[in-house]
Amino acid sequence: MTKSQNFNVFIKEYNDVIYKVCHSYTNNREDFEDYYQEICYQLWRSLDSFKGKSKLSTWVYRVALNVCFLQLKKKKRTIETSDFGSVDFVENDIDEKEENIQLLYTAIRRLSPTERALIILFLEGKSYKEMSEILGITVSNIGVKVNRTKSKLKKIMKSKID
Amino acid sequence: MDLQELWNESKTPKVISNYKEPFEVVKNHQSIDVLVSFEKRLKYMFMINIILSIVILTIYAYINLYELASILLIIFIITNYIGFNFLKRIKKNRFVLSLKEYLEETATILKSHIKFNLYALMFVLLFVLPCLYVISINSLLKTTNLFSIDVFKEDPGLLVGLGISIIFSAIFSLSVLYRVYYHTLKKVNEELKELNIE
Repeated sequence: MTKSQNFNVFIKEYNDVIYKVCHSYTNNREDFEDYYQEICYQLWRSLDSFKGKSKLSTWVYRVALNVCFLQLKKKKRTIETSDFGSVDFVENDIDEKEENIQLLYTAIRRLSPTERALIILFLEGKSYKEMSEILGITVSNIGVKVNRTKSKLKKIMKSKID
Repeated sequence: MDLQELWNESKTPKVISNYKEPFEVVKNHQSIDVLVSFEKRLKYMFMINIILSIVILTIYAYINLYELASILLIIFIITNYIGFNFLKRIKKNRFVLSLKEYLEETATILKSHIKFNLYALMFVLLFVLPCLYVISINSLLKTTNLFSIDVFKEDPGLLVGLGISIIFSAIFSLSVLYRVYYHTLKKVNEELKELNIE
């Protein structure tokens, strides 16, 4: 298989991951597309340099989250000041479950960039060790931070529902 | 509401059903390669510009032509800034458009950029550079009128110096323009031709 063919398979396999990470860090279509593009581009550029020292999924998360951190830094714009009602790529007639999913993403966007990364990795079922590898935080610290972020997220969601 | 359950449900992204998935990224590999090589060229140009700026700055500072040196430095910086902005414009389209659309769009942007660069270059070489040269020489000779061209009458050798400066700058700028922009345009056109044959 050529590099292009490999990359097609690779992108399809990790499309969900990229989608979720982008969705957690953006709240409108334009930013979403920018982030998605940038992640795909960085993955394409650095695919050759992946030496297999960590799991491929760990590497994908690391690249995706780094891109999001960098983009946020570049735009110097925090989601707290943005309009949460402008998630314009959501279909209008969504059912209750989808509404809840959107609520979850909206709540995630209320967290700080690092907290968002932590909760994404936690919900993706990553072990503390993998999370530590991706984010560069010590394993012992991860546990504390994850619990704190979880309760913060639940609190935000509750306040949103109320 | 279980967070995990909601998160897992979002794996089937019904909410983005109107999306092109995954942004036709599959079709655009070749364009990424073009872009990567172009980005490399721009980076090399940037490095060469910095080195050259330092050399020119040193030479002009040595002969006390600080004004000329600093203006040339500003021109170099502006050129690089325009180049990188242009790169950003092309990058923005790389996954959203189909390969053909992407290449056509890139070719159009490149053509307009080359045209802009040529006009800017002519303006700098034929107006900005001679003006600065005259001002610098007059300031060196402590002449009261900085724009006086009498210095050339007194020392025709200075006119030769100006000519050499213009020729040197023109050769350098045109070679950069050719290597970075025109070369990429040629590559883009070749790819477009291949696509049309297919």
